[in-house]
Amino acid sequence: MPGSRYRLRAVLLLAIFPAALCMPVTSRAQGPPILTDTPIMLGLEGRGVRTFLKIVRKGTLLRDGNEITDPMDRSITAYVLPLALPYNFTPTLQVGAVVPFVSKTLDSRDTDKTHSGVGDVSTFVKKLLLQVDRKGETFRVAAKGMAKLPTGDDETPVPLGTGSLDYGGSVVAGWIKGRWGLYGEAIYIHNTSNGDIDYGDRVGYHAALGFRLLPWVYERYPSPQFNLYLELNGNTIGHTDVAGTKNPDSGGSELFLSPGIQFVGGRKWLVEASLQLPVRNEPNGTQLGTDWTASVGMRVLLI
Amino acid sequence: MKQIVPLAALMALTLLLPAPGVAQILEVTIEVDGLACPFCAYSLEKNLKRIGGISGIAINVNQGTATLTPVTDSQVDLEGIPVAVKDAGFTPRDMRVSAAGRIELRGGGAVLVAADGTLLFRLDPNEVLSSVGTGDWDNYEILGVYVLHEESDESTGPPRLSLTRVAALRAEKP
Repeated sequence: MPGSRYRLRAVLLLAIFPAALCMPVTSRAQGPPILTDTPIMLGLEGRGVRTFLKIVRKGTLLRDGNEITDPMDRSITAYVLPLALPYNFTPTLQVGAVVPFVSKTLDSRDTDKTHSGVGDVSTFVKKLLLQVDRKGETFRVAAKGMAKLPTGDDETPVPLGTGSLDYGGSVVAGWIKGRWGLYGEAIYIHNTSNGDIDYGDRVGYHAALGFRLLPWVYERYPSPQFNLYLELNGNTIGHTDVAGTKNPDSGGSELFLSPGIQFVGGRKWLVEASLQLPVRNEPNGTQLGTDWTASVGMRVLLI
Repeated sequence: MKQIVPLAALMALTLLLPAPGVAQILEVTIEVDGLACPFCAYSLEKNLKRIGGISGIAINVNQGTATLTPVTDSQVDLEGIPVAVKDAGFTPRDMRVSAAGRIELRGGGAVLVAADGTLLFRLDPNEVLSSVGTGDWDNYEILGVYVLHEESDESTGPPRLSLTRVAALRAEKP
């Protein structure tokens, strides 16, 4: 029963995380979320470079969300190293690009194929729409426009890109008060086509709860700090049409519960790690479902 | 006890003052709203460093303040401090200025002037200023802690300050 397995993971994580959070709020501040975007485009979120190694493991064959035996014993393991380069024109306007380096391996009983290279490059522009500041507290909302370029090789059995020019937008909100931070993002991406393959659109939704574990009281800047995160990261993707015919084994929904930890070591750098565990894994038809993803990364402020 | 602590602090500050007659800004503390994340305080520090005449910056995230220490005997661009805070992506609030100088009556109002006669601040009439005593204004040198108005209704001239604390440094009267 994969559904009950996911629910058990969710219950365990939801039980463990609040235990660390049940501490008095004695001072202010924590850091940027790991997987969810933030409207606060300052410091380590602006004019810096961010990179992380993300490992995605798909090895469970699902039919309508239920685990079935795969006679081919297929699995996909992807190592993605995105290099994100944001640049702040002003404190309220940011542009940037994300260049992913991808290594993808397709395993099955009778084949083993790996392909590596640059994936699909993304660009974005983010504009702050609302800023409400109080003492030790800020609430901000930003709008983001995104475009994904077909730069990844899509002509191999293990494609690194979709070959389509996709674009969309999102609304990002963030609130920080005390040792807590709360962030949310709602995304819509219009996926276009590559030849006679017409990809379904994507709706994404993210939420992140952050908590500064240490130091207990943040006095003088800069001080090292540990932050904990619990994020929910979801996607729903529409069916792909091939030559005008709907592919029933495409698209679907997934929702991950993502605990993470972050260490801000100084003015200009931080390291972070996050594990994504599926709490909802419902690809349409028969497809490999995501078992887990793991991310380890760092952010460095350049200027 | 509560009265002794500020008095002792004031006396300690007095020891740090320059020679009597030299008026100067000793320290500036600005309240910064929205300063909730240490990871974004870097932009505040970077923007404040661009202000001329500053030798040190201390950002207190817990208090939501930035404290600037001027270089001795140098001019400080006070008006530029809230602008730098805003440019850094935060909301500037009250700014407290510790300064030493002489209070004089000029043009019907009280002003804080340097030894060479340069106007540092126009002083708002308030209870603290009244407590100094009009007749003593030109006879005493004054240490004061001030609150700079967030918005100035005049675009020219020295900034306006509301006196919140004063101390006589040296009585010239016999």
